[in-house]
Amino acid sequence: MAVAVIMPELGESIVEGTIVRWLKQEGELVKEDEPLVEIMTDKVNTELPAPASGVLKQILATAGATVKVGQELAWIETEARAESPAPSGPPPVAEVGFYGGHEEPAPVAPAPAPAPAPAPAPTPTAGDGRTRAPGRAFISPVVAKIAAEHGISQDELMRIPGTGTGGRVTRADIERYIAQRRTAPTTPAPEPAPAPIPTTPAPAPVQPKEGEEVIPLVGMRKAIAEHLTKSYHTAVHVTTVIQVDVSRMVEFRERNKEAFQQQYGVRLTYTPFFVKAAADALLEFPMMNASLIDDQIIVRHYVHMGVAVALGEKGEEGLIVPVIRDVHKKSIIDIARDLEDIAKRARNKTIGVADVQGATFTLTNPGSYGALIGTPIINHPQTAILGTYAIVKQPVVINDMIAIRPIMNLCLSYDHRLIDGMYAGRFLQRIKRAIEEFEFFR
Amino acid sequence: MREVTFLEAIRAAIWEEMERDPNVFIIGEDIGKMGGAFGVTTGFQERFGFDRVVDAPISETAIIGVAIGAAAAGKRAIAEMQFIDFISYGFDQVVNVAATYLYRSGGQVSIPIVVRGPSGGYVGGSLYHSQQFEAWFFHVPGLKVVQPAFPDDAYGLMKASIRDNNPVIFLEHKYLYRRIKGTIPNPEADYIVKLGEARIRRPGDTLTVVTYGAMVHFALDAARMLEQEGISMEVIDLRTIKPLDMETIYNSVRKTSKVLVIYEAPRTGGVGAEISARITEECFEWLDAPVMRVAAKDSFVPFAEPLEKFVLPSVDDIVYTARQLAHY
Repeated sequence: MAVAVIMPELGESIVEGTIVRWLKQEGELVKEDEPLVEIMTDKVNTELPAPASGVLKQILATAGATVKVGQELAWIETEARAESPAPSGPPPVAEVGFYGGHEEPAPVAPAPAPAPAPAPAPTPTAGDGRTRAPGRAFISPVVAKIAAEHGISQDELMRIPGTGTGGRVTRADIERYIAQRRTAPTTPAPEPAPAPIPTTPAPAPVQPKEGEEVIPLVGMRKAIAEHLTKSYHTAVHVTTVIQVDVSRMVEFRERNKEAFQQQYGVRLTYTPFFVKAAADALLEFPMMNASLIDDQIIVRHYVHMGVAVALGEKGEEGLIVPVIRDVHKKSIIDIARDLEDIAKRARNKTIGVADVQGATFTLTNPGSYGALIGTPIINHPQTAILGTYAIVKQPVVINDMIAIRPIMNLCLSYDHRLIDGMYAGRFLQRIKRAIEEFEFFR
Repeated sequence: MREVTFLEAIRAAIWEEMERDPNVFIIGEDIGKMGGAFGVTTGFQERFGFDRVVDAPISETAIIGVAIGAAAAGKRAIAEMQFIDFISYGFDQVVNVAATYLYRSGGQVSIPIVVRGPSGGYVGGSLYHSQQFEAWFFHVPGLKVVQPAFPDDAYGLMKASIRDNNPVIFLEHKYLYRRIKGTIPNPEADYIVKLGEARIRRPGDTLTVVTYGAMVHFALDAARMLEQEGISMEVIDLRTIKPLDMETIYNSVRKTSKVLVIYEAPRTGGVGAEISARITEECFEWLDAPVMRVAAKDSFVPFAEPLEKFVLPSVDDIVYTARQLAHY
C-alpha cells in the first residue's frame, strides 16, 4: 500500500510550509516515526517523521517548494501484504458430480488440504492499477454531507484527527467528533475559527460628551488591541527583574562609536548587545524560546528575535515588532545593521508582513524613553519578552566599597505555564553575566 | 424440517412443484433414466413419466424452444442445461423469443419457463464447464435471473421461479451442490422465497459486501477473518440478481458508507458495474470511499488448478480489498 506523506498542521494559522531538505532520498528505506523531511513555516521549523515504514517511493515536493497544509509531499510504499493472516482459499477441487449423477450421492469432498502458503505480496492496487491513498485533503461525499448538516466549516473539518489513508477524515472520525462535541458542549473545538466579521454586531455609537471625541478602533490599533488581549488572556504572566552593571558596555560604546560608524557604516547602540546576549542565552534555555500551542510545546533551536519599534515622534503612531532572523548565527555588526535597517523601514513604512512574522522571542527597550522598570506583555504565542530599561548611574556596593556605576534593570515577563521561576532567574543571570563581562569581541 | 444438500434442496423444490401442479414438466439432456449429469432429476421419470420428464437431444435451441412453445400453450416448463455454459446455443431462444414474448403479444402471452443449470467454477471444470453468465441475461429486459447460495433459498427460490409467469434464468452453483448443507421446511409448509428480495446473511457496520452465489460463502469466510481485526462486514446475499433489491443495498450503504461488490464472473461488464453505478447515482452523498469490486480476471477459467485459483476470486482477494476499503 502506498501511504502519503502529508504537510502537517504546524500550528494555528499556518497554511503552508516550505521544504528545507529531505533527510531520505527516493528509494531509501524509512522507518515509521523516523525523521523524513525538514519543513519550515513562518512559525516553526520542524522535522516531519515518516507516517509509515517502507520505501520512500516518490518525492513530490522537492527542497524549496512551498506546499499547502494537507497536501502530499511524498509516497511511502509499505509492505502492506506481509502482515496479512494466512489466507483461507477455497479448499482443493473436489470431484463433485461430474457426470457422476448415478452414484448419487457422490462422496463429499475429502477434508480440505491445508491452505497454501500466502502468495508473495501482489502489487498494492485495487485490481485496476489505482493506488488507494486519498490523503488528508480529500473529503469524501459522506463526510462533506455530515459536515454540512452539522455546520462544520472547512477549517474545523481539517482539524478533526483523521484515521483514514493519509490521515483522511473518515465518516467514523467526524461522527466521533460530533458525538464528543455534543457530550462536551462547553469544551470549545480546538482553536475555534474567528467569528466572521459580518456577524460581529456593529457597536452602538457612543455620543461624545463635551471635550471628548470618539475614534473607531481600526487598523493597527485594533490589531494591537486584539493581539495583546489574546496574549494577556492566554499566557500566565510573571515578571522578574534583575539589575545589571553595564559599565563595560557603556565604556566600550563611548570608546568605539565613531570608529564603528566609520568602519561599518552603522551607528553603534546598546541594542545589538542585548540582542546578542539574549540570543546566546536562549540557545542555552530553549524553553524560553518555545511556544505552547494546542497542548504541544514547540521548542526552537534557533532564534528569530522580534524587536519592538515605536512609531511616530511620541509613539502616537503605534508600534510594530520587526523580526531579525537567525540572530544566534549573526555577529554584533550584522545585528546592528539589521536593527538599523528594520528601524528605518519601520519608520518609512516599507516593512512587509514577512518582516514581522515568525519571531520566537521579543526584546523591548522602554529604557529609550527613560523607563526604570516595567512588566512587558508577552508577544503571543511566544513564551517570554525581555525589557531593557533606563541606564542610571547609581551608588552600588562593590567589594564593601561604594562605587558609582551605570545600572540597568532587565525585566523578563514569561509564561508561567512553561517556565518556572528558577529557570527564568538562571536565564536572566546568563544575560547579566554576558553584558557585565562583555566578551562579545574576544 | 429436513437436512439436505444444496442439490437436494433444488431437487425437492422441483419434485414438489411437479407434484403440486400437473402443468409443470422438465426437459433436458440425460435427465430421464440417467437423472441428469449431477443427479438433480434422479427418479423423476419413474415418478412423473416420460411426458413430464423429457430426455432431449443435444440441442439447447430445441430444449429451450420446446419449453417456450409449451409455456405459450399453458404449461410451466423447466429447461435443464447440462452446464449453463451451453445456454449460448439457446441464446436466441432466451433473448429474442422468451424475453420478448409478453411484449410482442401485447401482454397476452406470458412465458413461465425456468432455464436452469449448473454454473460457476472452483471444480476444475475448465473453459466450458465453469462459467458465470449472469451478466448476459442481466442485460436483457423481460428476464429474471436468480442465483441462490444456501439450500433454503435454493428451495424457496426454485418454487417461486417455477410459479413466476416470466422466463427465469436459474443458476445453480455446482461448487455448492454437495458442499453446502442446510435445512429446508417440509413440503406442507409451501415455503416460497419471493424473487427480488436480498437477504442480509451477516450484519456488520464497517463495510457492505454485495454478492451472490458461491461468493457469499467466500465473503462470509473473509468476514470471519476480518472480524478479528475489528473490521465488521455486512454481507448481503442478493439471491435474485434481476430484479435487484436496491433498497436493501441502499439501506446498508447509508449505514456503512463503504461498499465492496463481489462476483465470480470476469470483472469487465459484470453485474457489479451496474450495482456500483446505481449506488453512485442514488447514494453518492453517503459514500466515504469508492465502491470497489472483487471479480475474476478478464480471462477464461483455466483447467489447471493453480491457474483456476489465480483467475477466479479468492477469499484472500476479498480480505485484501476489504481491508483496503476499511482503512480507506
